[in-house]
Amino acid sequence: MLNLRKVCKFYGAVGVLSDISFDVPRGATGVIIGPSGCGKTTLVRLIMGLISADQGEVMFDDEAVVEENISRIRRRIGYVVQGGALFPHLTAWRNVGLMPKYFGWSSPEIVQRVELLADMMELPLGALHRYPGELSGGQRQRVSLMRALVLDPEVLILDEPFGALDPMVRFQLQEHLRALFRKLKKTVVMVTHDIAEAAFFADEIILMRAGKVVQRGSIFELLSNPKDDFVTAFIKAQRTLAEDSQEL
Amino acid sequence: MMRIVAAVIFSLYLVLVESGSPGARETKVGSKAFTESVILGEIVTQLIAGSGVKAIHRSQLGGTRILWEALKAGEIDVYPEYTGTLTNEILARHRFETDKQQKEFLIGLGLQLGPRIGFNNTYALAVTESTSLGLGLYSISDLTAHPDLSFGFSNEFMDRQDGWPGLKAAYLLSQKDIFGLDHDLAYRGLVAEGIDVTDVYSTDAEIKYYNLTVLEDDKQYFPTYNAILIYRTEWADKYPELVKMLSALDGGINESEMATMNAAVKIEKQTEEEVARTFLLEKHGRESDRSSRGMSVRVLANTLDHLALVGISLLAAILIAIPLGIVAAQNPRLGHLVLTVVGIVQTIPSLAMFVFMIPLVGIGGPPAILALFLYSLLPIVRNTHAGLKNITSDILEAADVMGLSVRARLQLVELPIAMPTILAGIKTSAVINVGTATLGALVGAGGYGQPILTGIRLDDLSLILSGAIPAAALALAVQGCFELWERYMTYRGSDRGPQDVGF
Repeated sequence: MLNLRKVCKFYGAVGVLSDISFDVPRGATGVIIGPSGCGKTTLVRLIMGLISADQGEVMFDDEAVVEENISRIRRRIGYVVQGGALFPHLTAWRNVGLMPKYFGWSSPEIVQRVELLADMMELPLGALHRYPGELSGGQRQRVSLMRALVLDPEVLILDEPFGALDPMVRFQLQEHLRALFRKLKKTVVMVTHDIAEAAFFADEIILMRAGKVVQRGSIFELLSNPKDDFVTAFIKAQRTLAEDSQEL
Repeated sequence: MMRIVAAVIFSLYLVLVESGSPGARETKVGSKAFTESVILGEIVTQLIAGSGVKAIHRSQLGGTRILWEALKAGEIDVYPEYTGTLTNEILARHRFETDKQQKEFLIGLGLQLGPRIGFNNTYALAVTESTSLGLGLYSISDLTAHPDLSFGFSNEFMDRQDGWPGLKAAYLLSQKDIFGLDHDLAYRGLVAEGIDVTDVYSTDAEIKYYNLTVLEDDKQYFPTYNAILIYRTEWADKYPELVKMLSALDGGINESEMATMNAAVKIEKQTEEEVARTFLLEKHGRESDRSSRGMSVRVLANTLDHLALVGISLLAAILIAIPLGIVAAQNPRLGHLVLTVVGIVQTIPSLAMFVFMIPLVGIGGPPAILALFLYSLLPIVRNTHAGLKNITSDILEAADVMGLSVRARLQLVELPIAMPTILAGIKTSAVINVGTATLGALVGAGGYGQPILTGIRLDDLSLILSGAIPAAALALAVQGCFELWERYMTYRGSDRGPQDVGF
């Protein structure tokens, strides 16, 4: 569904992305992971056409993404920016309903769709009439996802969707979303720096370091057959309860 | 561009405010913002009105330059001037050798000189009687012996070729303590001993009233300032009967008569209309019937004028400045240019601005509105620009990837988010506008500045307050209305309230 072929991006002489290739099949979830500054966000911005590749190409549903078709393709993608980027001047309801209204949906259609999404994302109906500044972090994130889902896109691209959430909310939302994505058969590309989160969501993990893909595969492949020491170190850089208890 | 905007504002003004037809038989008389000029203007106006031609008195316009520009532009037909001012100030740079040369030059401008009124209102220096006796000051030369005296001169005198700069050189005066102030306030300063010497006009009512000593111009430095009417040839050709009628004024008023009339207004508090009527009745046996308006009618008229000045200029500024701010935000280079230009416009002093406007749009409301419009641009352009620029890039990208067009993004996302900031800019403009509009009276635009100007001239505090208090109240009301509107426009949970980015 989404296919990158030898994509390179330079800022001046510095290569920020080099030779990136991967494939996320329809209905699958690919998770891009790596340490801060490895180029994850640059990569999704490039997939969304916000910046252009210097070499290589991005294929969407077997079609090369270029200037001319980007706006058409964007309508088939739901994108959740890091931090949500909700419009501060619109209520949650209007944030979600903005694009349907722009495309001329009737009011009953919009009401039905927004309420369905609120139900799906377990957002209390009361929160729909609040402004982003009045919502909790978890509610804001749910509204961002609703806004991304409202036109029923085939592909979802999520940049650190659980970034600023407290562990409880994060845990619940992760559970909920994985089930939802599977139920709706969405193709998902997610960016994170948390290996546990990646393991939980990914059909394929794309591990990046300094603008390059180090290794691709399921969490089991990465664990059992790491390509180099970095892969092992990155996966192991997790505190488990067991370890901490031993230290005590 | 400038001219188009000027034309739009002017036509707007005509629709909303003016309702006269330009082809009508009428004469517009001008006068300067001091009592004697207003009285002479009023005499001319009543004389013409008595003949059946409609006469409008554009009284107390800001200064010589404004009257002169207005006369050349045909905004007024006739006004009282002084020969010394004409030769040494208005036409000084031409350095005419003879009266004939000057006359021909005026004809070339479509102007001609009418009858001399008969008195010479020259500049003079005056001190209080006690200063004169105490220091033995009787002539200007005597001042050289007292370098510590403080001089308070009217602002115009400070700058004029034939004023302080020339006087200082002619008498080799060495005083250092010199400052400019309003002519009418200078008398108070003199009596209160804040200053020792001031410039006076030799027909000023106050000389007698305060018992001042006029210092003799022993080197005959000051030129003569014979009062004279100056008018447009075009007007004279159209109304030969009026020209003939005005010649009745030739030599009709001597210095002491003029001083008496000035005193009647400034000290006895008669109106210029009454004084002019009495003069015409006594000297020319003419009845005239100009009635003055009551206080409440006047305040109402001033309010309407003021609201028109502020409302029209602000509306035009909003319509132009918001698009300019948008363009500035979208195109950094052009933006820099736009902000620089509107910033420079803001620094032009208001009186200079009014003078620039007269050749473009005449006198009265239009130059004031055009000037206020120009002053209103900066806060709105700057706030629109800043409001749009302050929107974070993730919000803009979110709008882009959702598939909004550039135009839709601006309408649905950017402008609404920037609106509280834009509104704060409009508020700033509106409040500044209410205050600056009081200066519109200098070009005959009316409004609350009118009673303030007259009040200062006549030293009448209640008249000043009848303009100043409503102007202040209006500014507060405007501020209050905008604050309510802002509260309504500011979305809940916003972390940034409306901000004025200031100057």
